[in-house]
Amino acid sequence: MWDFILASGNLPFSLAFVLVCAIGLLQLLSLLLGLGLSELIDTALPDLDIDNPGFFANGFNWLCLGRLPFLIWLLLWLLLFAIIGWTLQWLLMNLLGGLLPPLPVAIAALAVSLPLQRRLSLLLVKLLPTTETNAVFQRELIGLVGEVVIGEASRERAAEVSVTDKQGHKHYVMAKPYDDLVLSQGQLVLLFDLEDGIYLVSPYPG
Amino acid sequence: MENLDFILMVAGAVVAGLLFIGLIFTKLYHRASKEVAFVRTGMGGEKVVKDGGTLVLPVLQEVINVNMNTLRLEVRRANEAALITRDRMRVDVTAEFYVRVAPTVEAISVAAQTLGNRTLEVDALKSLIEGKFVDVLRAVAAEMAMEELHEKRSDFVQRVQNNVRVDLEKNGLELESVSLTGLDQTDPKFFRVDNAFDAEGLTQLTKITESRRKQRNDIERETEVQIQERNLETEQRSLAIKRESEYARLQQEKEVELRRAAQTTDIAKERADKNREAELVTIEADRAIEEARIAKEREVEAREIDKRRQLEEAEIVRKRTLELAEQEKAIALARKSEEESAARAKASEAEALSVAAQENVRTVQETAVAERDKQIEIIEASKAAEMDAVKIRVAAETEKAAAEDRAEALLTEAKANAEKAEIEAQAEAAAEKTRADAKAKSYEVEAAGQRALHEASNVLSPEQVEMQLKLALYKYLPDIIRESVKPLENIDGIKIVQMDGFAGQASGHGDDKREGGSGNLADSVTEAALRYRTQAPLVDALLGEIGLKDGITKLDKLNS
Repeated sequence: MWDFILASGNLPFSLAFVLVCAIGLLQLLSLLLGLGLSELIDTALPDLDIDNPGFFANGFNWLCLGRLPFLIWLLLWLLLFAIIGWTLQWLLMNLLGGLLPPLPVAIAALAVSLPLQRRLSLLLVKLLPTTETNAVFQRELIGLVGEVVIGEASRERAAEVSVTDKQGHKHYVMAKPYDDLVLSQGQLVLLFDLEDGIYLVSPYPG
Repeated sequence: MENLDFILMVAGAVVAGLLFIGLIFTKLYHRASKEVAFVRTGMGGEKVVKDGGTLVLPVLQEVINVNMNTLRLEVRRANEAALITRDRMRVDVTAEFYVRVAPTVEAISVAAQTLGNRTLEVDALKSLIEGKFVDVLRAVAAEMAMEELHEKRSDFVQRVQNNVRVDLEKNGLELESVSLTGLDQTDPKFFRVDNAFDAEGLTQLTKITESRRKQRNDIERETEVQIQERNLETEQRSLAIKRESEYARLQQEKEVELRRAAQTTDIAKERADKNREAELVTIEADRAIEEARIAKEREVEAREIDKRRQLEEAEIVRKRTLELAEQEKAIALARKSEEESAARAKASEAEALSVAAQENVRTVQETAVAERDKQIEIIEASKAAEMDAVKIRVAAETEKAAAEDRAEALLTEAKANAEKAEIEAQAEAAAEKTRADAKAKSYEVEAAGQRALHEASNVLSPEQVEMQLKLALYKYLPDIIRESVKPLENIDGIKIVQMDGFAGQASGHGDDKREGGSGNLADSVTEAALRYRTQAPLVDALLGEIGLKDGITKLDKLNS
């Protein structure tokens, strides 16, 4: 086995795998020691302007380079390159009885690996969670029904209204009636506008 | 190289690669917790993450954490720094503000911007916003009187909320609640006389406290009086209660005694009743027995009476039957005699009939004579009529025939009557003859009876003749005697005069007492009486005749 790995024909692929291992072990080490190695590497990379895509950017986009963390992307590619190269050499060895020189095989492996890289990247982008939040915008509360909790709401003086958002979280907001009304405590109200951080409400029947 | 080796190699490479990829991902994924939200900035713009997570690319992106916990900020204003209320009083206030970052995108974003990591440190936050709270407290206190602060909590909270809202919003915070944990009037020593606010407040304070003191004193005094009154009342009540209880006890004893007495009486009454009932029952039983006995006796009696009555009735019936029989017999006898007289009447009737028949015969004879004369006349008339008219001849002839028929009938009738009369006369004669015979026979029998009687008297024995004589004598003896004593009737009165010296001469004695007189006197009376009895021998002879020799007394009796 080691003969196969260390064969001259397999040199680029084995090197790629060694790189994978090295990066991984470094990450593990940094996790254990608290060193932000990946940040260092990331910092070293140039900022990509997504808004102004050039040729490279388009290419990166096609490869999902900007949509995956760089290290992950790199690891994935290196792994693909190594495995494809090894497989090709192994197949050739079994067919021809000997290994081919590395360069032509490496080119072939690169050619095969890039579309595969794209596929797997897209899959990974879908698989990996990106942003999840329950935070709501203030305007999202408009249209919900709340209840006056403390005091009496009048045009001059807003009162606290509790309202439950779509995720089931309770918000306590200040609200006042849109008209010359007095909303007593316990009154159900419909939030229908937002004005300077105060909601305008109307009594909600029933 | 073996296939297996190659497969193992590739598989190991894949596994190692995936492991490393996962490791890197773990390092890059930033999570929010319930307590902490964060804002990611950098590549991709601002992103507020709450309760979720996101990939944070190193170098490209930055994260600011925002504490979502409620933070308690205590604000205390006391003494010189005390708040001044609407009624110019100084109050020491300890208020606790509960603030938190509002759970909206905008608020978290603003909080991250304005507060940054200070949301995680309460003291840092407090130093930043305490001034705002003090300001708000002052403003709200100025709007409310001390008592309102004390009483209207929700009003206070709402005012604070309204005042503080804008300021807090600028930091993305919201006031969850505010509590007045301490509220009291500031010590008067901190009131400064030369302070306009304090001067007014002090006056008011003094007024209030003094009036309260007065009021308190009033209440205390009043209370004292009331207490004493109450005590007195209590004493009275207690005594009254004792009295009542004593009364009640006495009453109860009385009732018990009464009840006991009543009970005893009842028992005695009951007993008496029972005894009486028993007596009554006994009496009743006795009476019943007696009644039964009486009834029985009465029944026996009644039966006896019944029997007797039945016997009597039977007797009566028997007697009546007898009488009836006798009567019937008598009736029968009477009827017989009636029949006899009826027969006799019939006989005389028959005789009358025979006489009438004889009369009839004569009448018929005369009628026949008259008829014959008439016929002669008719014949003569017809002769005349024949001569008068031939037309009525037939009629006349018819008439004549009818007349003839009639005459014939009459003749026949007369003949029959004559025959009948003859027969009846004969029957009468026979009856008369028979009757005469019967009479003759009856007389014969009677005569025979008489003769037999005479014969019987003729054949009487001498003793019987004598007896007949005696009977005759009996019959006429009273008359004889009456006639014989007729001279005695003339005696008016008997006077017995004793004449001594007249030997052998009887003397009357005027007394009709028959006391034992001397022999002499008795003898003389008897003699005197006997002397009147001149016809005595005759009477005696007659008496002797009928065997009544010493029946002088009887004779006297007869006489009287």
